[in-house]
Amino acid sequence: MLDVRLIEQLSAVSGEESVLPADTLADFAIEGFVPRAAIAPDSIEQVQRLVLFAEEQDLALVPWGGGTAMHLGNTPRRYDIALVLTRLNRVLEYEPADLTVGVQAGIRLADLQRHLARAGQFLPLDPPFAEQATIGGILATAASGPLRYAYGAPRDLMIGIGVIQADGALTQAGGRVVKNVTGYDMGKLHIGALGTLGIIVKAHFKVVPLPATERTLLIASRTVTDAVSLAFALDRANLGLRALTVLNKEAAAAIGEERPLVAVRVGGEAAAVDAVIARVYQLALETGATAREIPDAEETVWEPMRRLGVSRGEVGTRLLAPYLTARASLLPTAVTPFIEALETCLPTTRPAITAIVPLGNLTATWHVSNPQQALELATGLFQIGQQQGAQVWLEAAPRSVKEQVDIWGPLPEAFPLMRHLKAQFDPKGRLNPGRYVGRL
Amino acid sequence: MRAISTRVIKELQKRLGKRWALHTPEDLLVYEYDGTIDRGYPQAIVFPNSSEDVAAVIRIANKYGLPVVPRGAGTGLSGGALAIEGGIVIALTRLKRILELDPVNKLAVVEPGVVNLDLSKAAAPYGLHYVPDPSSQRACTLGGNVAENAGGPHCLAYGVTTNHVLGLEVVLADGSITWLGGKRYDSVGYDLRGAVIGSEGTLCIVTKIVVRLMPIQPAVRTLLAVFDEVDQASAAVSAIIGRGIIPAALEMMDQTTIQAVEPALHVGYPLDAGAVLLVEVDGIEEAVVAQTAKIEETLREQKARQIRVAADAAERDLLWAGRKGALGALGRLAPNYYILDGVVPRTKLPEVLRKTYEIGARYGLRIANVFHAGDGNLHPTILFDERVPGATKRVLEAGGEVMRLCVDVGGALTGEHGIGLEKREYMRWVFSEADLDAMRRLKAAFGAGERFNPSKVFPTDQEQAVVAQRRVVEQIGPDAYV
Repeated sequence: MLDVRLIEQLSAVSGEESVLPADTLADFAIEGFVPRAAIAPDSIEQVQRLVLFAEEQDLALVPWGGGTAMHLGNTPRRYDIALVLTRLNRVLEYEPADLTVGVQAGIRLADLQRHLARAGQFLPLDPPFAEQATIGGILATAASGPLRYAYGAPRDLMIGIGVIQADGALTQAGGRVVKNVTGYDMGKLHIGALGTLGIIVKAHFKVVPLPATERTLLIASRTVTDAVSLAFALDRANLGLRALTVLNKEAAAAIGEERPLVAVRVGGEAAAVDAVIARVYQLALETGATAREIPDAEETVWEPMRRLGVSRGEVGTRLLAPYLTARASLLPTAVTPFIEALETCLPTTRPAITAIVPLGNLTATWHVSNPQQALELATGLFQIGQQQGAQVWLEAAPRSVKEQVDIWGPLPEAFPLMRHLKAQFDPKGRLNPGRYVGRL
Repeated sequence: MRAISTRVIKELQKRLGKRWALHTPEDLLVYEYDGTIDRGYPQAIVFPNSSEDVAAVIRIANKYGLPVVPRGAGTGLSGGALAIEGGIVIALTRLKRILELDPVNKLAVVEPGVVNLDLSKAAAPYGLHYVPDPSSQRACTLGGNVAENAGGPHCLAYGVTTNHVLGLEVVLADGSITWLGGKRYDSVGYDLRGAVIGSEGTLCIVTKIVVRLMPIQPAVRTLLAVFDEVDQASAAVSAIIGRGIIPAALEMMDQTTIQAVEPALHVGYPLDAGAVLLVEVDGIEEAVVAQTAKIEETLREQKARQIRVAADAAERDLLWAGRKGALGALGRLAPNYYILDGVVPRTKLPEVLRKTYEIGARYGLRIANVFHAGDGNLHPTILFDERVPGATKRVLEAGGEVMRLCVDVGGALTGEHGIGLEKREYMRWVFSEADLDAMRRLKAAFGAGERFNPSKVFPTDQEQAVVAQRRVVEQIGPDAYV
């Protein structure tokens, strides 16, 4: 049912052309919860006016970027307006010789990468769906991909941020330079916060040179345990690898391979790359694994691998129902027993698992077809996490699971502080309410 | 400063032991200082030996309405450890144990009083080290590093403290103890660990730190390049980065600095050089060889008149000793100096250096430049003699102008030393009231109020451009650093 009055008011605030058509509202549903309006402002000032309007009218906002990760988070407690930021898509500042770039939050990652590539540089972040994912969404979900092994997470790359607070004020922290300890590091609070402390509207990053050349190897092991051991050995060899991801048999199958794998990216000057590849082959041989080089690896290996935890090629919240994806952070030495526990926790279905072993970073996806099984799996996973000392949370789960468990798992020790923080920045609970840890 | 009531001292001594809670003027004198020359006047100083001790002290302070000020080695350069509102200084120096060192998972759990270099020394037998390496690392503590989000020459390629700390055990204003983050890379919830790092002791007191350890790279090359002009050296910095090389370290020193360092340390810097660049690359042998060749080519294109590649570890250490000993050496040129810390975009380096010298000339002051050229983090050092009437005032004004210059070209007020006391009034140059308000809300969320390290970071309500505080820099001596 169309909320005519609200739409009239929103048109008055940020212009008619910013209000999205009524027949698109269903596209902005989260767990079946459809907003009353969807609006796409085209400037930071318009965003401020909208947020201020929402404050005055006590409306709940959910920020939207490319919609590639909206399955993350608990069910919304309230949802009035989808605040779509994709029209804020400009590069604000870019000086290649400074190795820094400033952008509006709605820019698509792939568009930014193309812009940087013209100067031989890139932002070393590789979450899935780069053509759709926006910088703001990537920051708000702390998204990353296999390149995290060499380059770090969003928190290690962002140097400045601009946020619209719940009361409409624009606040900035950090700056445009790579060394900066001026005032509190407020930007860290917003990374991974799902917009619950403020709407990210711009950000500055460090960028790095593109490697002169790049090659991918897939190394097949007999078992996933062997693959994990090999990953340790490759990491210890200090080869300067760009990515080092382990795939279990099911994950390997998803990219058309038969055995557990270690996937490796090597980049740099040609001579150095040749030397590293030779050493990788040697180490593989020593463990009885077989290595081979993959051309066009970005399309055939890396992007499919990134998408494993999300879907089989579609984007959005609707298609996640049959999937349950868990993320885990644990000590590297705990990875092998943890994988074993995950592989056997459901008698009938084995998960596809990828892991960046030296970071203790792991993703596991199950195809579960009935709600009861999904719930048992979810609770079982949190138990395994507690037993094995792993931080576990669900990145994707059917709605029925989300209604019964907090997908973020047990409350962290510092949750009281987090509650105070939320109360300070969003006292009326109108920014993406209910989605975050402890249903904040 | 009012002497502390005996009731408070008795409670502190009862909890910690008489020798670990001091209050007499003679005892407090030593703790009035840090690396600057502002002074604070604590009413008591305590030396807890555990997180629970720290919590107990905070509860006692709360009971009597006293502020607390955490202190590491007292090497800070922005007044962070100074008890300018009195209260109880909590020295973390007894908490100097390395609790765990896990070479397979590449992490360590340490107490905040552990000296930075000592951690790397402990990790060395495993082929590991702790990356953030401020020049003060022989003396400074990890707790202080966390408070300031310390950097160091090797942070260009590898990041600063916040990129190497996985977790913090902290004591909050209400005396409760909690972990922010832990031993794992990711944890669920707001990144409070990230917000506490660099918060200069104003939100909570850190009592344990989980750090990442990184492998010592298999190969390293260190180059020294000599230039006739500072401009050429700055251009070389941009050229190296422009060729797609991010060295592990890229440092610059100007003629004034060279003229102080060379007679003291005999590194081999020509006294008539305009500037020298110290460049370091590390990684696997083949990559290092390739990068070194590219760098040498670039340096020659940029008119370096001499390029020297360290032949062995001893020569590498000597080249670095020249850089890390620079500040101590500057003490030979003048009785007093005032170190600045600002950051500018790399492309603005030549302009900023030129204008810094102009500012010096206008004020009749000699300015030496030694800095982390790779990330645009400058440390102009103003040399003077405090006995000359009006010198101090001119130094502060000149310093303010240099900071203003950094901000005007799009840079930052501080790259490593922190805001502390020194720059709190400049915060309004870069932050709006809404920005500062957001920071105050973070502080409120921690319940810290004005209890933890008061009067630091935030500007006072007085509007002003340059605060002529009575500050004079005394000679620190050969062990000083920047």
